[in-house]
Amino acid sequence: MKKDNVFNRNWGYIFVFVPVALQLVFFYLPMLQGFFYSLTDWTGLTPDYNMVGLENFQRMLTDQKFIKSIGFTLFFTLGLIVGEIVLGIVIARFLNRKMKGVNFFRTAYFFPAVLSTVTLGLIFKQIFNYGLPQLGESLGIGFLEQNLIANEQTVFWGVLFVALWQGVAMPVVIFLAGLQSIPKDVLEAASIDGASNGQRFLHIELPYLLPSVSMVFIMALKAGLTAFDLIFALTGGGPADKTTTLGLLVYNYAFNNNQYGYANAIAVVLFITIAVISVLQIRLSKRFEV
Amino acid sequence: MTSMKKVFIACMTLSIVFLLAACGNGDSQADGKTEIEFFNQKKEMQTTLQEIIKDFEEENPDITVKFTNVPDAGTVLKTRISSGDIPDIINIYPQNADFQAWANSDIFTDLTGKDYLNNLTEGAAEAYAINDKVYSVPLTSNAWGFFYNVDKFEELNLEVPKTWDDFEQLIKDIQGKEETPFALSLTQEDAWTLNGYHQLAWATTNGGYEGANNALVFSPKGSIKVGNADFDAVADQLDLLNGTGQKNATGASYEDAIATFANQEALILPNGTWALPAVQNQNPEFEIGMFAYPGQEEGQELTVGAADLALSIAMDSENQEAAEKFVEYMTSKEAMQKYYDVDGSPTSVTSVDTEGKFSETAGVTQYVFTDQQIVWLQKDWTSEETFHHLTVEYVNSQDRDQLATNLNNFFDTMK
Repeated sequence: MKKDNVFNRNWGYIFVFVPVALQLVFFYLPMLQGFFYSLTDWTGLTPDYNMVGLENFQRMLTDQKFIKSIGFTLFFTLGLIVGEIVLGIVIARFLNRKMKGVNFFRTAYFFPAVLSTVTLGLIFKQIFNYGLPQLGESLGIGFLEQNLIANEQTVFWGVLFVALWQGVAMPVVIFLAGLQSIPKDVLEAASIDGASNGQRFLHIELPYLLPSVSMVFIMALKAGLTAFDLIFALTGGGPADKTTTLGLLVYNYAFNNNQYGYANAIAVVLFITIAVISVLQIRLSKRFEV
Repeated sequence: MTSMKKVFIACMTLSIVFLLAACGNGDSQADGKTEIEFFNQKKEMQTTLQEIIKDFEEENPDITVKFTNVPDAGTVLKTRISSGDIPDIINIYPQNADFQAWANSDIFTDLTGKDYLNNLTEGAAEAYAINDKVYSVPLTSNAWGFFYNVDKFEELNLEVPKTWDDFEQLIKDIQGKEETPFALSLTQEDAWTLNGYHQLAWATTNGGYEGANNALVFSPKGSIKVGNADFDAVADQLDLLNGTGQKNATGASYEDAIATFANQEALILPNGTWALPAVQNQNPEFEIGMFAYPGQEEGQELTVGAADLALSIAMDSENQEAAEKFVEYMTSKEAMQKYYDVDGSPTSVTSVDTEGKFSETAGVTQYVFTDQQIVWLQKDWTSEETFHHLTVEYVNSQDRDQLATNLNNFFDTMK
């Protein structure tokens, strides 16, 4: 009788067991293995490897490709965060107005989010290579006549533009929801008191939007630091490795250069960076929440 | 009731264990036939290989061949071998670093001195020996060179270059006649298309495979410098590609370059023999020809290439005899004639009749299996991708100091 009770109370664990086991086998186990292999010189080809201690991590300090890649990844992430928050709020405020066809615009701005990132990369690759130069020629704009993502000076902005074109869609929805949750009476009171548009935004809307800002911040941060598919399809990391993100670098080292151990070491650094920033960010944003 | 539940839990657990274990199960044949698995990487030849396998099975009724074709075969093979699930017969490129690492750790059967190696051109198999042991049977070879538009060349009174100076003059002449010399794809993604160009530049200036690799990978760390005679010569040759490609070449993909050549918007397409079917798919309205990379003097033309269809046998295979029978069959005229008539890559199987076939690529394939063909230089490298990237980076930027730095960074890790 007693046994039966124990079982009756705990039988739910059987159902939990399956997903937990799958999670363990397919996620945590490989992750721990990754940590382990970052201390080896494993090529990924044969089962043999040697322990090399922290050599892989030392090598990173002098690896030009790694340093170049960190630089790009940081600037790209920063651009993504600023772009998604600023553009997101601007577009959301515009879409929050009462005007004709607002539903059409809301759909139009959300549309890029449903496209596959790889498809998007391939489409924009053709636009940059054939569409824009064609346009530049017929309009006589010299700046547009070249391929903007094949030029080392302009590629950063080209890639950021495409990333934002898609990346801003979700934040717009989040900010729009945030704006619509602001109590109408507060806004009404403000306009009766003669608050200007700017004052209303700064003192009423922005504080209400802070939780959304913090969420978009995390989303953009994660998207920026782990960016892979868009860049893989759009530029392949070129020209001259100018747009190789850390994710792409890990892939290149592991699968093209047969240096699994070193690739894992870079992945470990990336993991720790994201973990630290996320913890800091969550603590900080809790302080400002409304 | 309790016991019922216990049984239920036990069944659940067991089924999960079996589910996981089933993935690693070997196969056993009930009907007394031996089954061997053939892992293929030459996707474009799948249909032909299937026919050859059928013939083989008819001749050997006690053997069935499981023909494995998967997308992204190279990566699949890597994971299968590293987890010990090795196919009996593997089509693998013996010039690559992964093959050599595997051969060194006894993944493949030693085929040295087997009778059927005599069906191949002399020295063909030995060229890829590891520690003087043959682990691979190379049946066909690819070759790198320049495709050109024969009709346009005739129309504009242009001639195939015999020396490097001729080649430079040819490019000037083409430009002088308001035509675009090269169809290029100067993106990082498709940088591999110029791998042969850069490697042959080093080989022609340094007297062949050994000279080139002595300068690149068997030299002291940091020794590749601007001002070295060979470096400057190579950089000069790479300069020929700057500004001579089609418009938008810097952002073009491999497919774009093929289309540019097939639409007659550019007269020369630098690439390997494997690109021929892709060009022909576009139905070009002109005759296609090929010429090899010119040397300093006439008669020093070189091509670079290596085994394309090459077979190895897994040491772990329980069916060594059957696997060898299949490999032996692949070295026969019966099998390879069928293959050659579709593929057109030069074959090392001496009995195959190649007279007068595939004249488009003859300008380059005439050098295959002679001393005017070198094996891809990456045979002695641990990886190659970065080399492709730095090639295109230089062609676009013309920054010689950066090229020297990049080459040193790349090769220093192997020294």
